Amino acid sequence: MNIAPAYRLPAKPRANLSAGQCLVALLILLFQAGCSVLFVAPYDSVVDQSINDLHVRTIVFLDRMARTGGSFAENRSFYDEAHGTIATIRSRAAMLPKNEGTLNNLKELDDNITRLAVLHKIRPLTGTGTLDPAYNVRELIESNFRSLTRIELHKKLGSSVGKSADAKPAS
Amino acid sequence: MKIDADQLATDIIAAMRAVLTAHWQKAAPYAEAEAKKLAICAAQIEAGYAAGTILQEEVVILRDMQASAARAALTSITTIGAIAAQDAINAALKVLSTAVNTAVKFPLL
Repeated sequence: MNIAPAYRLPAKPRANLSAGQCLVALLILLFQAGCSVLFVAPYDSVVDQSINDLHVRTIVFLDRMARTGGSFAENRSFYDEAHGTIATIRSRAAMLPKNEGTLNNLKELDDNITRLAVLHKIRPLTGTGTLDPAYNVRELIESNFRSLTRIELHKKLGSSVGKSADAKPAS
Repeated sequence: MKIDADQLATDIIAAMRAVLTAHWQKAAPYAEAEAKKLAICAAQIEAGYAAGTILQEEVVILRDMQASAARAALTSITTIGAIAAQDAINAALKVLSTAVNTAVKFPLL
């Protein structure tokens, strides 16, 4: 028995769009969704300046320890203040959405300040030779600060990082 | 005025590529420099331990500090990548809005 369909559905018109037209269509959708996208929190000058201030205080402290050989007990206040400062910056940074990069790196810095204190309890942070613990500690703490500062610079200057100190690209 | 979608796509891709390239040109030297510094630091810690200037209990802490610094550097690179993508898309949206607004002769987008 041959069953013929009572009716035939009309063929669906096929959109023959190029990749470029698809891109334009996608961007129009994005535009309607809110005109711009945000993957990373915007620049916050208070966070940036606070990180820079703590960086300065930390390097001054490490230089003083290398010169004076001060004990942990005599310099405990530095660690208390550093942890308090990082907690305050984290609190401020957490108010902005999509700020995980900065928050994670502040946590890494806080952990390394704790480890610095443990090293300081073992013995004074003296020695400037490349095979001394104090020299390498300084390098590692500097690395933590560079990672934080690099993110803030890209937030502030965008793709013009390194071109000019005060250039701000259109966003 | 009719919009040439293919030409507009070419202009949008050019705007995105310029932003992405600029970000990468700044991020790549940082990534390389940080990797080298961390590698040198690791070698110095091992050499210091071998020479007796760094104690065993200090080596353990220094290695943890190094792992933390490396994680922070990777987080930084990842975040810069996200900022680059964000800036590239927003640059593309700007090209699109300019083209559309010029075509319709009023600020539609």
